[in-house]
Amino acid sequence: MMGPFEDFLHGFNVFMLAYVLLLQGIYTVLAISGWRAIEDYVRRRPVRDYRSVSESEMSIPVSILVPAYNEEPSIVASLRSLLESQFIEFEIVVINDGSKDGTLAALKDAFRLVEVGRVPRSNLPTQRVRAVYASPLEPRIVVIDKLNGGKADALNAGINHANFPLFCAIDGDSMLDAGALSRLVWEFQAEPETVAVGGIVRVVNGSEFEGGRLTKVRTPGNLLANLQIIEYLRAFLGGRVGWSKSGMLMIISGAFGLFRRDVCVEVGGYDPTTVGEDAELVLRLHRHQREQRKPCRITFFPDPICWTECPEDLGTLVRQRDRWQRGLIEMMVRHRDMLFRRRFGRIGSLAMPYFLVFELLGPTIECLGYTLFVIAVALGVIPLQFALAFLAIALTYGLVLSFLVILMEERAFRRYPGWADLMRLAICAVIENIGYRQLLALVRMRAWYTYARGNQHWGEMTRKGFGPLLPGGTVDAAGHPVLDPTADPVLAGEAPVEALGAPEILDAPRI
Amino acid sequence: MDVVEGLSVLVGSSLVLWLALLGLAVLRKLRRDRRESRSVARRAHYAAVLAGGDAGVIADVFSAAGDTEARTDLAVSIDLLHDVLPAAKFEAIGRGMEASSATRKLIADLGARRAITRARAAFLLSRPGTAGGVEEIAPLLADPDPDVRLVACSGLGRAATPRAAEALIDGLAAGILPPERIIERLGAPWAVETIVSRLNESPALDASLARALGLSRDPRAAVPLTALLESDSIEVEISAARSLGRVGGQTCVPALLAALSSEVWAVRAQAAKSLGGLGAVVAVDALERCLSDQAWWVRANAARALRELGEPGIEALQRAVEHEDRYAADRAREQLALHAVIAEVAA
Repeated sequence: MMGPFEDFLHGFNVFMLAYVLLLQGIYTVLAISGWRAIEDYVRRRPVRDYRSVSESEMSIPVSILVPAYNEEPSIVASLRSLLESQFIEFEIVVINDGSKDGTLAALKDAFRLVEVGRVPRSNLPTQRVRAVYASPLEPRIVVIDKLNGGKADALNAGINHANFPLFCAIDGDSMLDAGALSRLVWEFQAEPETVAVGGIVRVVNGSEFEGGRLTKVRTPGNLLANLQIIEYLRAFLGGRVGWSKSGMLMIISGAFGLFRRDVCVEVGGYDPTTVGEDAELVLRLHRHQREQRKPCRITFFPDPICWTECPEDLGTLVRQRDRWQRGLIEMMVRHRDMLFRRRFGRIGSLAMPYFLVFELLGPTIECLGYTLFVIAVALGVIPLQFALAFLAIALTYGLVLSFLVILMEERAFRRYPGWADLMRLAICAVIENIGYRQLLALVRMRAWYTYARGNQHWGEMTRKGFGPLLPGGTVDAAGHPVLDPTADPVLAGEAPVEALGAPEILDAPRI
Repeated sequence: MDVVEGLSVLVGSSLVLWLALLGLAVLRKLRRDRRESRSVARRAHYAAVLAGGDAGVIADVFSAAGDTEARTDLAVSIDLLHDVLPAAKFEAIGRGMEASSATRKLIADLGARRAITRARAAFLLSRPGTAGGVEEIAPLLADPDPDVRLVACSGLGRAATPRAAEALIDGLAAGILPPERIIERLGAPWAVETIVSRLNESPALDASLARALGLSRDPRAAVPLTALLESDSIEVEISAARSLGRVGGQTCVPALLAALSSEVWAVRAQAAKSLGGLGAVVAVDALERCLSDQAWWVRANAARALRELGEPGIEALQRAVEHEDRYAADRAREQLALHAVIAEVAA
């Protein structure tokens, strides 16, 4: 005879069983879909002429936006790495977002920056731009110095000053594979209805650098970083590829994505009032294109790689995940009217409900489930054999999924070719399922509390950078030819901005 | 079953599962390693045979390349030799391919149900870059699969025959591929005559063909491009101004100087940029006047063009620093500052 509490425990655990089975089912569908998409890509890869994309004068030029806030240790190395990109025409727009350290000075020294006038091509509202700099040594670099307004505000300033039809937003602490741009641009060139493409973000910790450039990819010695490698692989190869294949991709990582500039300007650019500006923009693009009844291809491409440094200490990881979860909450709250609306297609009727149930409420349900599961077993509400079988199935499934993405990686990309790397990842595939996931669920549940408190902070991130810098220009502060702040008629608002009406044809005047 | 016993079973079964999965991963890794070494050896063999140029041996290689991996390696090997071997060798490769039993199979595969099969067949058929497969590949420009369309497009570009140019221009007119993908294949001297014969069909086609003429960098393109500068379509004018800058030669300069007086700011801006790129010192006075143009981009491009023109342009910029129009002076000062750093580094 069970009392009301035991009844509740029993009922909740039945609900949890159904919840877990449904979630595993979705993961299975996504993983199978992802596997098939990657197999298809591997088969098609040899016939795709990426080299011509990187060399053709007809390729769509790209503006790489690099928002930088207190990035003095790594910014120059990051830029030098970006300059190595094998792509015919690109510019790097660095936005110094009111850094308090020597970010701007480091850039001035390394690239001998000269203050110039530059007309913005759009009018997204941002904090005041103090100056625009060009580099006589490296014409592809433009630096915008502005008052601090956060990452989204910095990106909007970058979009305003970007010259080219596509922009790629990447973090100041990330570096791109040399061929990454051409592979992403290929997606726009092959299918013109493409609005945005996300690339895979991978963990760079433990890899070897020379002169700020990645020379050998290796798994790190740090356990937390290795766990994140598995986690990233699961999220990107086991998740986003599948979502993308079904036309339901809702997140393009802020660390690496390529967007059509004109459409992003049309929707108002990044939202500076959210900490999850990357996902929010993607959802707004879906919404806008569907409301306007325009084609909307937002996709994920697993091969172009952006390398990023992941946190190696628990405190930084907790702050990062808290921010990610807050961003997700803000995004879902803002666009709640899209939920279950057929007008928004699969995004409104499938992807958003999934995010609501399994990503937004999921951590809370999961934490509650763990607690009540233990209590139920202790009270004998759940038979021990059943509990162990349930755990075994959950662990088996987690292990199979983690190994599946390791195999996907091995099949398609082989970025970790060493045997030691395989062993490390195999061990972490176990630990990731026992302890790490549960810890993250707790952190993500706590994000509701920080969200309710109205916390808009990013939290401090600790970074090592990409090794010693390459030799740059010599410091010559006194000798720099600096202009008076230009009062150009356009910049001063005294004359019409002809350029704002410029036709956004793909081969628009390259100025 | 008590808790300890149950947990032991759980840990034990998990360990077995982990070892099984690890074994699977190791096996796949070994298999992949073996496949890669095989591929490296095969490509080296193909490269040696193809470079040898014996059509009979090449035909045997094509016939023997039965599976997908071997065919892919063969196509990649031909690609790698493309910039190295003389055209005559490629003729031999083409003859070898046509003489092999593989060609008939490849042509049959162009109509396969699976897109990847069609793409692979078109890819290998078009690699030698001979006229042989043009008629078979041209219809694939309208294929429902984007990869197949792009492979067909690059294959026709590689064939480099008037018939291939006609097919590509038809594709351009039909809008079956993004125009840039066709333009980049058409933009070569071999296509100039065919392009010129197809001008004036429609403004949209003219704009694309003007861009292709520019990419060809062929002096024969100068006269038709100059005529296109008089077009009623702004897009055609811009494309012509940009392409004249690419074609080069002194015949283009008078047309671009005239374009500096266009009523359309984008044409003036593009003409200024092209003149700078051409090193047209004769344009210094006209560009100096453009420093006080009413459009920002024209001023900016003119100032940059003057810097690119070297000493006479720098002198013009130095004069412009004292210009009564402060906006012209600003652009000039900016370019002089850039020039100073460049000169200092060069010194």
